[in-house]
Amino acid sequence: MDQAEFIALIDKHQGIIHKICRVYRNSKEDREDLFQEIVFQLWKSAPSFEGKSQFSTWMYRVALSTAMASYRKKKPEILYAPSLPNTQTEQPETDEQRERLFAALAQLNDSDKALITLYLEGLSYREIAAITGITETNVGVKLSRIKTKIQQLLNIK
Amino acid sequence: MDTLQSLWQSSEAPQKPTAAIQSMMHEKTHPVLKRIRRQMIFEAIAFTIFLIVYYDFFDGHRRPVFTNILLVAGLLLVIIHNIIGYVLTKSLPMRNTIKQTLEAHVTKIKNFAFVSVLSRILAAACLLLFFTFATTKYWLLAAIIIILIIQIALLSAIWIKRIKQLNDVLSGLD
Repeated sequence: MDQAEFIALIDKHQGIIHKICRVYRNSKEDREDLFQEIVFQLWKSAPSFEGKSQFSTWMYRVALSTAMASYRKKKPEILYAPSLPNTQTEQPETDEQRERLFAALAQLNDSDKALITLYLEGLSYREIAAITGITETNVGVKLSRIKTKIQQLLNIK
Repeated sequence: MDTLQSLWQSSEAPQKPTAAIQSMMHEKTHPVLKRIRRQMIFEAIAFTIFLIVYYDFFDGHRRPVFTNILLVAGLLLVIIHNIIGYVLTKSLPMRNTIKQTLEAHVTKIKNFAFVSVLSRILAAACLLLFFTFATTKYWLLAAIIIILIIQIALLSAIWIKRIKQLNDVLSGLD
Protein backbone atom coordinates (compact mmCIF):
# COMPACT_ATOMS: atom_id res chain seq x y z
CA MET A 1 0.00 0.00 0.00
CA ASP A 2 1.50 3.34 -0.99
CA GLN A 3 1.19 6.58 0.95
CA ALA A 4 -1.56 8.08 -1.24
CA GLU A 5 -3.64 4.92 -1.02
CA PHE A 6 -3.20 4.81 2.75
CA ILE A 7 -4.21 8.46 3.21
CA ALA A 8 -7.30 7.95 1.05
CA LEU A 9 -8.36 4.95 3.16
CA ILE A 10 -7.76 6.79 6.44
CA ASP A 11 -9.71 9.74 5.05
CA LYS A 12 -12.61 7.45 4.27
CA HIS A 13 -12.59 5.67 7.63
CA GLN A 14 -11.42 8.41 9.99
CA GLY A 15 -14.82 8.43 11.69
CA ILE A 16 -13.88 5.07 13.26
CA ILE A 17 -10.71 6.56 14.76
CA HIS A 18 -12.61 9.59 16.07
CA LYS A 19 -15.12 7.35 17.84
CA ILE A 20 -12.42 5.13 19.36
CA CYS A 21 -10.61 8.23 20.66
CA ARG A 22 -13.86 9.53 22.07
CA VAL A 23 -14.50 6.29 23.97
CA TYR A 24 -10.96 5.77 25.25
CA ARG A 25 -9.93 9.31 26.14
CA ASN A 26 -11.72 12.03 28.02
CA SER A 27 -9.96 15.29 27.21
CA LYS A 28 -9.71 16.86 23.76
CA GLU A 29 -5.92 16.95 24.03
CA ASP A 30 -5.67 13.24 24.91
CA ARG A 31 -8.00 12.39 22.03
CA GLU A 32 -5.82 14.34 19.61
CA ASP A 33 -2.72 12.51 20.89
CA LEU A 34 -4.44 9.14 20.56
CA PHE A 35 -5.72 9.98 17.07
CA GLN A 36 -2.15 10.71 15.97
CA GLU A 37 -0.81 7.61 17.72
CA ILE A 38 -3.38 5.45 15.92
CA VAL A 39 -2.59 6.95 12.49
CA PHE A 40 1.13 6.48 13.19
CA GLN A 41 0.68 2.82 14.22
CA LEU A 42 -1.62 2.15 11.25
CA TRP A 43 0.97 3.51 8.84
CA LYS A 44 3.74 1.52 10.52
CA SER A 45 1.63 -1.63 10.35
CA ALA A 46 0.39 -0.98 6.81
CA PRO A 47 2.83 -3.51 5.26
CA SER A 48 1.10 -6.22 7.34
CA PHE A 49 -2.26 -5.46 5.68
CA GLU A 50 -2.50 -8.10 2.99
CA GLY A 51 -5.99 -7.24 1.77
CA LYS A 52 -7.37 -10.63 2.89
CA SER A 53 -9.81 -8.86 5.18
CA GLN A 54 -11.56 -5.52 4.78
CA PHE A 55 -9.45 -2.44 5.51
CA SER A 56 -11.90 -1.41 8.25
CA THR A 57 -11.52 -4.79 10.02
CA TRP A 58 -7.74 -4.44 10.04
CA MET A 59 -8.12 -0.84 11.15
CA TYR A 60 -10.31 -1.77 14.15
CA ARG A 61 -7.68 -4.27 15.27
CA VAL A 62 -4.76 -1.86 15.07
CA ALA A 63 -6.67 1.17 16.40
CA LEU A 64 -8.20 -0.64 19.38
CA SER A 65 -4.89 -2.35 20.24
CA THR A 66 -3.20 1.07 20.20
CA ALA A 67 -5.89 2.66 22.37
CA MET A 68 -5.68 -0.17 24.90
CA ALA A 69 -1.89 -0.47 24.98
CA SER A 70 -0.90 3.17 25.05
CA TYR A 71 -0.18 4.66 28.42
CA ARG A 72 -2.48 7.10 30.19
CA LYS A 73 -1.20 9.14 33.09
CA LYS A 74 -4.51 9.23 34.92
CA LYS A 75 -7.93 7.70 34.73
CA PRO A 76 -10.26 9.80 32.62
CA GLU A 77 -12.79 11.85 34.48
CA ILE A 78 -16.37 11.31 33.53
CA LEU A 79 -18.03 14.58 32.74
CA TYR A 80 -21.75 14.85 32.36
CA ALA A 81 -22.89 17.93 30.54
CA PRO A 82 -26.07 19.30 32.11
CA SER A 83 -27.12 20.72 28.78
CA LEU A 84 -25.56 20.74 25.38
CA PRO A 85 -25.18 23.63 23.00
CA ASN A 86 -27.09 23.15 19.79
CA THR A 87 -24.20 23.61 17.39
CA GLN A 88 -25.20 21.06 14.79
CA THR A 89 -28.07 20.78 12.44
CA GLU A 90 -29.38 17.68 14.25
CA GLN A 91 -32.06 17.65 16.92
CA PRO A 92 -30.58 18.71 20.27
CA GLU A 93 -32.29 15.72 21.84
CA THR A 94 -30.28 13.35 19.64
CA ASP A 95 -27.08 15.18 20.58
CA GLU A 96 -27.90 14.77 24.23
CA GLN A 97 -28.67 11.09 23.83
CA ARG A 98 -25.37 10.62 22.02
CA GLU A 99 -23.48 12.44 24.76
CA ARG A 100 -25.12 10.21 27.34
CA LEU A 101 -24.18 7.13 25.33
CA PHE A 102 -20.52 8.20 25.14
CA ALA A 103 -20.53 9.06 28.85
CA ALA A 104 -21.87 5.57 29.63
CA LEU A 105 -19.29 3.91 27.37
CA ALA A 106 -16.52 5.85 29.10
CA GLN A 107 -17.39 4.09 32.35
CA LEU A 108 -16.68 0.62 30.97
CA ASN A 109 -13.31 -1.06 31.29
CA ASP A 110 -10.96 -1.09 28.27
CA SER A 111 -11.79 -4.58 27.02
CA ASP A 112 -15.56 -4.01 27.31
CA LYS A 113 -15.13 -0.74 25.40
CA ALA A 114 -13.49 -2.64 22.54
CA LEU A 115 -16.28 -5.24 22.38
CA ILE A 116 -19.13 -2.74 22.49
CA THR A 117 -17.40 -0.46 19.96
CA LEU A 118 -17.24 -3.31 17.47
CA TYR A 119 -20.83 -4.30 18.23
CA LEU A 120 -22.14 -0.75 17.79
CA GLU A 121 -20.24 -0.52 14.51
CA GLY A 122 -22.45 -3.38 13.34
CA LEU A 123 -19.91 -6.21 13.25
CA SER A 124 -21.09 -9.80 13.73
CA TYR A 125 -20.04 -11.87 16.75
CA ARG A 126 -17.83 -13.87 14.41
CA GLU A 127 -16.03 -10.75 13.18
CA ILE A 128 -15.69 -9.43 16.73
CA ALA A 129 -14.18 -12.77 17.81
CA ALA A 130 -11.71 -12.68 14.91
CA ILE A 131 -10.57 -9.13 15.76
CA THR A 132 -10.33 -9.50 19.53
CA GLY A 133 -9.06 -13.09 19.76
CA ILE A 134 -11.77 -14.37 22.11
CA THR A 135 -14.24 -17.10 21.22
CA GLU A 136 -17.55 -16.34 19.53
CA THR A 137 -19.48 -17.79 22.49
CA ASN A 138 -17.52 -15.64 24.89
CA VAL A 139 -18.22 -12.55 22.75
CA GLY A 140 -21.94 -13.29 23.10
CA VAL A 141 -21.73 -13.76 26.88
CA LYS A 142 -19.64 -10.63 27.41
CA LEU A 143 -21.76 -8.47 25.12
CA SER A 144 -24.94 -9.53 26.87
CA ARG A 145 -23.42 -8.41 30.20
CA ILE A 146 -22.12 -5.14 28.70
CA LYS A 147 -25.50 -4.33 27.12
CA THR A 148 -27.22 -4.82 30.49
CA LYS A 149 -24.66 -2.55 32.13
CA ILE A 150 -25.15 0.17 29.52
CA GLN A 151 -28.91 -0.04 29.84
CA GLN A 152 -28.53 0.39 33.60
CA LEU A 153 -26.19 3.34 33.14
CA LEU A 154 -28.64 4.96 30.74
CA ASN A 155 -31.68 4.01 32.83
CA ILE A 156 -33.25 2.13 29.93
CA LYS A 157 -35.78 -0.50 30.97
CA MET B 1 -29.90 -1.40 21.57
CA ASP B 2 -30.90 -0.62 17.97
CA THR B 3 -31.37 3.05 18.95
CA LEU B 4 -27.92 3.11 20.53
CA GLN B 5 -26.44 1.48 17.45
CA SER B 6 -28.00 4.08 15.16
CA LEU B 7 -26.88 6.89 17.50
CA TRP B 8 -23.36 5.51 17.39
CA GLN B 9 -23.30 5.03 13.64
CA SER B 10 -24.66 8.51 12.95
CA SER B 11 -22.05 10.10 15.21
CA GLU B 12 -19.82 12.41 13.21
CA ALA B 13 -16.67 14.30 14.05
CA PRO B 14 -15.06 17.12 12.07
CA GLN B 15 -12.99 15.53 9.28
CA LYS B 16 -9.26 16.04 9.56
CA PRO B 17 -7.68 17.47 6.40
CA THR B 18 -5.49 15.20 4.29
CA ALA B 19 -2.39 17.28 5.07
CA ALA B 20 -2.96 16.75 8.81
CA ILE B 21 -3.30 12.97 8.33
CA GLN B 22 -0.13 12.96 6.25
CA SER B 23 1.86 14.75 8.94
CA MET B 24 0.57 12.30 11.62
CA MET B 25 2.21 9.41 9.78
CA HIS B 26 5.67 10.69 10.63
CA GLU B 27 7.69 10.10 13.77
CA LYS B 28 8.86 13.72 13.76
CA THR B 29 5.40 15.07 14.58
CA HIS B 30 4.31 12.32 17.00
CA PRO B 31 3.38 14.17 20.25
CA VAL B 32 4.56 11.54 22.75
CA LEU B 33 7.72 10.67 20.82
CA LYS B 34 8.48 14.36 20.46
CA ARG B 35 8.39 14.78 24.27
CA ILE B 36 10.59 11.71 24.81
CA ARG B 37 13.06 12.91 22.17
CA ARG B 38 13.28 16.34 23.81
CA GLN B 39 13.99 14.74 27.19
CA MET B 40 16.55 12.37 25.66
CA ILE B 41 18.40 15.23 23.96
CA PHE B 42 18.38 17.25 27.19
CA GLU B 43 19.78 14.31 29.18
CA ALA B 44 22.36 13.48 26.52
CA ILE B 45 23.60 17.12 26.52
CA ALA B 46 23.69 17.20 30.35
CA PHE B 47 25.63 13.91 30.52
CA THR B 48 28.05 15.03 27.79
CA ILE B 49 28.78 18.28 29.67
CA PHE B 50 29.23 16.27 32.86
CA LEU B 51 31.64 13.86 31.16
CA ILE B 52 33.66 16.78 29.74
CA VAL B 53 34.05 18.56 33.08
CA TYR B 54 33.91 15.80 35.72
CA TYR B 55 37.62 14.91 35.41
CA ASP B 56 38.66 18.41 36.52
CA PHE B 57 35.70 19.29 38.74
CA PHE B 58 35.58 16.06 40.69
CA ASP B 59 39.29 15.19 40.66
CA GLY B 60 39.06 12.25 38.33
CA HIS B 61 42.86 12.03 38.19
CA ARG B 62 43.03 11.36 41.94
CA ARG B 63 40.65 8.43 41.78
CA PRO B 64 41.45 4.91 40.53
CA VAL B 65 41.19 4.48 36.75
CA PHE B 66 38.54 1.76 37.06
CA THR B 67 36.17 4.12 38.94
CA ASN B 68 36.57 6.64 36.08
CA ILE B 69 35.79 3.95 33.52
CA LEU B 70 32.77 2.76 35.50
CA LEU B 71 31.45 6.31 35.83
CA VAL B 72 31.57 6.81 32.04
CA ALA B 73 30.06 3.34 31.50
CA GLY B 74 27.25 4.10 33.96
CA LEU B 75 26.27 7.29 32.16
CA LEU B 76 26.49 5.62 28.75
CA LEU B 77 24.23 2.88 30.09
CA VAL B 78 21.57 5.47 30.95
CA ILE B 79 21.80 7.00 27.45
CA ILE B 80 21.57 3.54 25.78
CA HIS B 81 18.63 2.64 28.03
CA ASN B 82 16.83 5.85 26.93
CA ILE B 83 17.39 5.01 23.26
CA ILE B 84 16.05 1.45 23.72
CA GLY B 85 13.02 2.88 25.55
CA TYR B 86 12.36 5.30 22.70
CA VAL B 87 12.55 2.54 20.07
CA LEU B 88 10.20 0.33 22.10
CA THR B 89 7.72 3.16 22.70
CA LYS B 90 7.26 3.78 19.01
CA SER B 91 6.72 0.15 18.09
CA LEU B 92 3.62 -1.71 19.16
CA PRO B 93 4.03 -5.41 18.28
CA MET B 94 0.98 -5.94 16.04
CA ARG B 95 -0.31 -9.53 15.91
CA ASN B 96 -3.38 -11.21 14.38
CA THR B 97 -5.75 -10.31 17.21
CA ILE B 98 -6.00 -7.59 19.87
CA LYS B 99 -5.41 -10.21 22.57
CA GLN B 100 -2.21 -11.47 20.94
CA THR B 101 -0.99 -7.90 20.40
CA LEU B 102 -1.55 -7.02 24.05
CA GLU B 103 0.14 -10.24 25.22
CA ALA B 104 3.20 -9.43 23.12
CA HIS B 105 3.13 -5.86 24.42
CA VAL B 106 3.01 -6.98 28.07
CA THR B 107 5.99 -9.30 27.50
CA LYS B 108 7.91 -6.44 25.90
CA ILE B 109 7.04 -4.05 28.75
CA LYS B 110 8.05 -6.64 31.39
CA ASN B 111 11.44 -7.17 29.73
CA PHE B 112 12.03 -3.46 29.40
CA ALA B 113 10.96 -2.84 33.01
CA PHE B 114 13.59 -5.36 34.15
CA VAL B 115 16.27 -3.75 31.95
CA SER B 116 15.18 -0.31 33.15
CA VAL B 117 15.47 -1.09 36.86
CA LEU B 118 18.71 -3.07 36.38
CA SER B 119 20.38 -0.31 34.34
CA ARG B 120 19.34 2.27 36.95
CA ILE B 121 20.88 0.13 39.71
CA LEU B 122 24.09 -0.37 37.72
CA ALA B 123 24.35 3.33 36.82
CA ALA B 124 23.74 4.32 40.44
CA ALA B 125 26.38 1.82 41.63
CA CYS B 126 28.94 3.25 39.17
CA LEU B 127 28.27 6.83 40.31
CA LEU B 128 28.37 5.80 43.94
CA LEU B 129 31.66 4.01 43.52
CA PHE B 130 33.27 7.01 41.81
CA PHE B 131 32.15 9.60 44.33
CA THR B 132 32.56 7.58 47.49
CA PHE B 133 35.58 5.39 46.74
CA ALA B 134 37.69 5.04 49.90
CA THR B 135 35.55 7.60 51.68
CA THR B 136 35.42 7.70 55.44
CA LYS B 137 32.20 9.72 55.51
CA TYR B 138 29.99 6.72 56.14
CA TRP B 139 26.93 8.79 57.06
CA LEU B 140 27.08 10.46 53.64
CA LEU B 141 27.46 7.11 51.92
CA ALA B 142 24.50 5.71 53.85
CA ALA B 143 22.35 8.74 52.96
CA ILE B 144 23.16 8.41 49.25
CA ILE B 145 22.41 4.68 49.30
CA ILE B 146 19.04 5.28 51.00
CA ILE B 147 18.10 7.92 48.41
CA LEU B 148 19.06 5.57 45.57
CA ILE B 149 17.07 2.70 47.10
CA ILE B 150 13.99 4.95 47.36
CA GLN B 151 14.43 6.06 43.73
CA ILE B 152 14.73 2.46 42.52
CA ALA B 153 11.74 1.39 44.64
CA LEU B 154 9.66 4.21 43.10
CA LEU B 155 10.76 3.25 39.60
CA SER B 156 9.86 -0.40 40.27
CA ALA B 157 6.45 0.66 41.64
CA ILE B 158 5.73 2.66 38.45
CA TRP B 159 6.54 -0.36 36.29
CA ILE B 160 4.52 -2.75 38.47
CA LYS B 161 1.51 -0.41 38.21
CA ARG B 162 1.86 -0.15 34.42
CA ILE B 163 2.17 -3.95 34.00
CA LYS B 164 -0.81 -4.53 36.31
CA GLN B 165 -2.89 -2.07 34.26
CA LEU B 166 -2.08 -3.98 31.06
CA ASN B 167 -2.72 -7.36 32.69
CA ASP B 168 -6.13 -6.10 33.87
CA VAL B 169 -6.98 -5.14 30.27
CA LEU B 170 -5.83 -8.57 29.09
CA SER B 171 -7.83 -10.42 31.72
CA GLY B 172 -10.96 -8.74 30.31
CA LEU B 173 -10.28 -10.59 27.05
CA ASP B 174 -10.11 -14.06 28.65
